[in-house]
Amino acid sequence: MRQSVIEARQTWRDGCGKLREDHEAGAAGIVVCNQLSGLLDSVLIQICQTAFEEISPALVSRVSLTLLGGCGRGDIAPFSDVDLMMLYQGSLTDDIVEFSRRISQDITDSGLQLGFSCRTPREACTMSLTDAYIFSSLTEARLLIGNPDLFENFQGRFRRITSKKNSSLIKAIIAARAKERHEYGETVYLLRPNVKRSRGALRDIHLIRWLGFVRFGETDIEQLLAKGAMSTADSTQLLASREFLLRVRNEMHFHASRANDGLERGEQVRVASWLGYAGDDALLSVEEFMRDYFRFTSRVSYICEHFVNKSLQHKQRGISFLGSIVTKQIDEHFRMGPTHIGVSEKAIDVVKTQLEQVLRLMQLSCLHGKSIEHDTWIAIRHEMLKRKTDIEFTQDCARRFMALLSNTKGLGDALRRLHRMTVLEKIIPQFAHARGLLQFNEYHKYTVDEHSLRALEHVISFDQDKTIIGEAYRNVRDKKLLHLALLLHDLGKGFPEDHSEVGRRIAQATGERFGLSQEETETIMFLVHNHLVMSHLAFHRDIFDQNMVAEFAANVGSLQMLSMLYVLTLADVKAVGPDVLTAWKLDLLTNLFKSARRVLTGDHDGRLDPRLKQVYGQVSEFGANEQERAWLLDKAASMPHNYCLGHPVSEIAERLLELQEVEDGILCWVNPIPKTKLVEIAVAKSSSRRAGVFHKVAGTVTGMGLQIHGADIKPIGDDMVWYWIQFEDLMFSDVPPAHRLEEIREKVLDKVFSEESWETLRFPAVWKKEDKVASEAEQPEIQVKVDNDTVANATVVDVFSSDKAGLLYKISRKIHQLQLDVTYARTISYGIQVIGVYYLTDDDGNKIRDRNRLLQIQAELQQTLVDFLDP
Amino acid sequence: MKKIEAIIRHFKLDDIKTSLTEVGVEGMTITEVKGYGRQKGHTEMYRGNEYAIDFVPKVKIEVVVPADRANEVVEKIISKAQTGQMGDGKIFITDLSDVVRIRTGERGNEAV
Repeated sequence: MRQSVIEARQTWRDGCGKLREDHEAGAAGIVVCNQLSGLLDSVLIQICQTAFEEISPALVSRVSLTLLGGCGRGDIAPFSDVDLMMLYQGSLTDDIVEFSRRISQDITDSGLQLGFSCRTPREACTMSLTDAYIFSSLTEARLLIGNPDLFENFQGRFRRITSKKNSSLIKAIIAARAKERHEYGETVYLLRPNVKRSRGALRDIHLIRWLGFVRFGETDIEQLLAKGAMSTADSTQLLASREFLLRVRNEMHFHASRANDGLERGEQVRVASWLGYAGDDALLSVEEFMRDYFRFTSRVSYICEHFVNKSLQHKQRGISFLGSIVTKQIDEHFRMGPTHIGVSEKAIDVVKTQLEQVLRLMQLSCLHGKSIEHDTWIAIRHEMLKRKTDIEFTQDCARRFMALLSNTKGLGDALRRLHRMTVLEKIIPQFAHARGLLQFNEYHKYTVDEHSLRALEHVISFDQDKTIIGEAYRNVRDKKLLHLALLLHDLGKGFPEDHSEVGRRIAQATGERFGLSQEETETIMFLVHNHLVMSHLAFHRDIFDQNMVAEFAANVGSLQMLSMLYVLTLADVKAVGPDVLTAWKLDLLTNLFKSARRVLTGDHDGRLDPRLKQVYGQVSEFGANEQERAWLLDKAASMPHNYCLGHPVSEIAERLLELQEVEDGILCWVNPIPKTKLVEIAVAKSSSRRAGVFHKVAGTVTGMGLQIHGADIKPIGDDMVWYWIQFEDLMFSDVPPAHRLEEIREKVLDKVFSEESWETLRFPAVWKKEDKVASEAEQPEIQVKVDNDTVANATVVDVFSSDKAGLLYKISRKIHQLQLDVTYARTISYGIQVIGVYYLTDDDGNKIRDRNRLLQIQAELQQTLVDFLDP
Repeated sequence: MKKIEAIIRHFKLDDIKTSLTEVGVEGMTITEVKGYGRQKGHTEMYRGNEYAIDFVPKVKIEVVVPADRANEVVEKIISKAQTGQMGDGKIFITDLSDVVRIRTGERGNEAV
């Protein structure tokens, strides 16, 4: 190796070592980068001068060695590549070729990574028009050594073509950067960002420089400020962000001894500690560091995006001129054009200082599908950044925010904008804490704020879903509460306490702040507090365990709440990262949802098991003629689904045919259920009036010492009702003998036909000893919930309580006393808990709509249960 | 060396993982899988109340152990995974010809 190369390598190494010491002693990032650049210049000049002297001293006046990209800019990182272009004029002579070969080899041998090109000014300019990467690196060109006139010639030519091809260049540069960003991360809030290439990273600052060159002929941020291309606030923030990023990047390069720009998890921990972040009980040092990282990069991203828009708008001067003609003032504050909505100059001072006006602007933008004018944004953003907390939050604000949340179109984008302008944290103060909050585990891919916004976007996308997910989402009556709960669900993170508990308090505080009703506040508190429950049960518990499902359903309480919790859980899991919601997880969650829904609504969920269709067909084949077959098909389809699936088709057909013979009367069958010690009783009543039979059957069965495990009541067409009750005879340790079954059958028939009063019914004491009454500690809470949304023609009442002999009788008698008809009922005991679902109608067979009447029904049933179970 | 592949009920995973760690199994691979065997893709429910599921979600655990420890590990898995109901899963045991630790190039039991 040549002596000059050995010396150059030594100069570079020594210089780097010295600068690393400065860096470790706390030197500013930009200072280290500038000095590295200076060091590089001197090394390159040393190599080039030696080469000139040894090959052809006169060559120095015929070529210009020009530094491009970061080297031209003068702020390289310790292991950046050297981007060098040799400009020459005329023909490519042998000495130029030899010189090129020589310096390429020497620079590489000195331990530097070299990118080298040899072009005439014309070639360089022509090539820059075909490739945005070449163009952007040429904007940073700086003469290292050689003929200054030649360099000026290039610069003049380059500026002329830039000015001529202004608009296509802007487009090309923006497209090239968009492509790069797509590859390295579209969001600022990546948990493993690239300090150079991800959104909001150094490349976005470079993008501003390149666009600045095209539009204003300047790359330097301070020069752009001087030319009015950028506000003072923007340039200050940009420089502060650049300083932070450069310092982090220098550390990453020095430590890895290579060009490492990927801020991986291990590296985040190390850099955080190196920068002196200490952390506390609630936040790890790495979480603190990354929060700062995201704060800086989101600012860069924001400023960059506006600079990009501004550059594009400049290009579309014609359109904005046309726009200004057709723009209409829609009220004293807002004006609307063909594509944008904005605020007039006179009104901006009012709008930007009032949250409710900002929200109104947002709502109008969502409603009409128009973007918000750039100047309006800038004005609001500056005002919001200026005011940390001293801005009034009124009830009108809360009302407008809730109205915004009820949108399913454009809501995600609107909330993202509100978050970036720091408006969201003025509405929900706890959002400030979540900004850029890292979730330092192997599971999450985004920061808390990004995760929450993504979860909200996912849930809104369910509106278009054709499966059970979309159905569940569309079934949610009050979507704004669901959306609010999603925004809040993880805001309890980053505190020492369990985040679901903190979240519940945040939800409560938000409910109070927004002036929501108690019921609404309880809904969001429940959803936030329980947002992990469903995934925990689905992934870690046996979803086929009916007791578990029943307990979960009782805890959730209503189909509305269940639907909300289901879609919230899916959106939450989906927002953790791409492909986290696998088909496997989706299956488990959906099965749990379906099982719980069945508990809460009985069979009436509108979805037909494909096997049932087969059963109905087979039953109908028992008909003697076409008419009878049609009749059987119709009636079988009305039987309780579980009954159809659990009995031979011949038995179903036989019973229905028997029933066909009865005009006005009652049939009763009592049979043991195979493989269990349970007995089932099926009672079919054929008459126009059905009121009262339910509680008589329940009373008789209870009165005989039979413990009811489950009961189904279903109308079969207009004129028949099917009662199906499963029970255990506590008088017998095994299946009761045939004579006992016959006794039960006769008694039921006898009592149902008699007009005897049931008020004085006494239950025998014989089986009380064995009665499975739950101990005090595990007694489930007594709850009666009324739901008027699930079915069209009946009011659904869900009853949750502990089990006790006579319970069904008490409930059914109360329903009878309230002069209500049971059109469908299903009650099943799960261990110590009983869940009953009753579809009730008034005397005329209609849904109960009167609110006071609904409250009375709920209160009286609740009282009946309390008196009976907890006297 | 033996490779033990166990298809288990997903909610038994935590128990099995803990007990295998206790007996010194140092690594395992977990996969979320779906399938059916004699369970025939649906589960018998409460009193004739059935649900149709084409494939039942399960978890597959893969563990590689020295041949003389295979039985112990299998017994451990059985003791934790068994409920006595259809759908408890299956364990497949195969002979393994070699194992290589990529980082160091170690082979055989050393690499397990």
